[in-house]
Amino acid sequence: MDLSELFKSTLLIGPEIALIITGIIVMVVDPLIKGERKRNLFWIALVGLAVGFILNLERFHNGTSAFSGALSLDGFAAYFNLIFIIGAFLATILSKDYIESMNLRIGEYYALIIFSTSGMMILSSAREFMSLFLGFEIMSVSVYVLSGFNRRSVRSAEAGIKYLVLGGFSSAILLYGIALIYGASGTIFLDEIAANFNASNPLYLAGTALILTGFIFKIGAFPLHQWVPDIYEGAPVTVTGFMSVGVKAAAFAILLRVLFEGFSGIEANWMQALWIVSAFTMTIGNLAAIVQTSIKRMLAYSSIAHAGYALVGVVASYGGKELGLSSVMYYLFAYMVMNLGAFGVLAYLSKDGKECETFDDISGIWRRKPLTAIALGIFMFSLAGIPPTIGFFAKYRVFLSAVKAEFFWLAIIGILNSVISAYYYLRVLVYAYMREESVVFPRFKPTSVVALTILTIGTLLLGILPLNSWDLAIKAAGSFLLTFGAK
Amino acid sequence: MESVLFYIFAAASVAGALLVVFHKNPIASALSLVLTLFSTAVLFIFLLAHFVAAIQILVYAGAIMVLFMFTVMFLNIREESLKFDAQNLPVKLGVLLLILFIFGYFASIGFKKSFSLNHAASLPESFGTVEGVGEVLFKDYLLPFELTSVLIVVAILGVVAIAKRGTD
Repeated sequence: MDLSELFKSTLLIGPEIALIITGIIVMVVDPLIKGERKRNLFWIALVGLAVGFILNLERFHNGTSAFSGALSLDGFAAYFNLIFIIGAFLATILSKDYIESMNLRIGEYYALIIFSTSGMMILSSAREFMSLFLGFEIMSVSVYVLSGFNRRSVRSAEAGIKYLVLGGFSSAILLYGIALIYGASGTIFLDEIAANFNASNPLYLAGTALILTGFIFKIGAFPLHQWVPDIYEGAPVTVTGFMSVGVKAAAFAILLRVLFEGFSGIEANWMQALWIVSAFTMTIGNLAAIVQTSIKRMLAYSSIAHAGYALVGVVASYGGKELGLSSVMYYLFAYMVMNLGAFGVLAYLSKDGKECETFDDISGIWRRKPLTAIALGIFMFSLAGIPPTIGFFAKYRVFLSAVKAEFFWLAIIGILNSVISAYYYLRVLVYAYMREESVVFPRFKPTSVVALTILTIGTLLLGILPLNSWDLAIKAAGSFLLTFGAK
Repeated sequence: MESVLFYIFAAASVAGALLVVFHKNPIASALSLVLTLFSTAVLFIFLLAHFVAAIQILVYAGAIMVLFMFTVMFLNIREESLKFDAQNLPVKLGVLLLILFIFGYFASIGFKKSFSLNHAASLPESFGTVEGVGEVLFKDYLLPFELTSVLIVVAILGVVAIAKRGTD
């Protein structure tokens, strides 16, 4: 690679660079200003994310690759980047009131959200294991810190340490897998690995298994789902919202790319493994969610279940099927909208250093705050997959793709699980609409309301008119299949 | 000659790693890590990666180990809180060795298969020298190199966010 090519490649990764520079600006400006004025860092963060968003749109039209194929800047990556940036943007807006009322450090918070997003964006386009791992770590390390961000809360600190230790362990497993694959193939580029792939060589099998393990941990799927409830419950609620949508989507992006591009040689093997993982993830997530007494913990288990639904789509894209791939991508987008909304409502109802997390904390909001109650209702309907919401449409696509790919049993397990999940989502609404209030609700928070309104309208509107966003997912999946020339 | 030295240092590095895990005294554990890192550095020299070997000793065995020692001393761990659970020790060690053996067996098959493919190209002249490493680092792997710096910035930011006292 000569210098002019390096220069060209650097210009191509504008969105990532924009976010990293924004993160550094927030970080540097933070100690220079004092007190109340730190709240203005919020605007720097929003502008940076908006710039990243606009620069990223270009990639839908002309996909290229940069750094001699280390990054593939195709529609697939662009679609996932859209999920990350919109997610980070709305999470930032939702966080403003929350971190100010909790008295958390403002500058570091926004900077870490932005750095984490830039790591996810590297991850979604990485086609080479070294950049992949670094993107993975940039994303993870930021999120470790964010989950332990509320230092006055013992549970937040516990969540941070737990996530750091367990996440470090999973990264080590992933790295070990990468090392074995490198040892066997002599290369870290996914396309070259696919070309050298030799299924009778145990190193490839062991490497694939270890890499898959690392990703399954980050997705929060069975059997590595145990960390999810503890950490999602302990972390500040806005951080939980951000990481449940962003980190999960990023892990799915890289899972899809590595499996389909790098390890298509043993497709039948990992497909069967993921079939089992998916069925157990849905079932265990849903069954455990039923018995929870804290909404935050219930939503954590529900996020495990949703990872299972998305995995149905991964299994259904076996053989490089466009429908399955686009259904996973669309599902993650839909999950971003509705889950961020659900956590956003919890953040909105938190006040004076106390989070809204038990069922008592939301009982009777219908009487005092009818609009918040309606938003909560829409998000819960959407998470349960009831029409006319985005959640219904996304779930329909995932199960449809499973049926079309002839995974009937997986589709049946998924549908049964959706029925079970309706119970605990609707239980939230029973408390919100039919019980007497037992706590005093916080005052009106203008900034969070903006984000909640956007999310509510998005959940409904895309549920009624899903076609545009769905076409985008199909196009992105098509561009992904083009990059490595699958059928 | 080379293979004899290889086995000596390979054994030393494994022994050091085991001592890190099994030794009661955390300071001794940390010092055993130096042994492992030093022996690995020697193995790097056998692979003609002189620069990496030098960096391994300077950075890991030098700087990082000092940090480890400081942390261990700051934590001021009492001896009895570290009582090693000696119950079923032979069984535990046996299982560990069995796993290692099975893994080593399959790995050796795997590596034999990989290298019969003969994709290990002949090494360039500058391999392992400062010049060669620099060339690769700043041209072929510029992106990972820069991403590493972002990762370090994030880590520093995280440490400050967690360790700094007060909120404002």
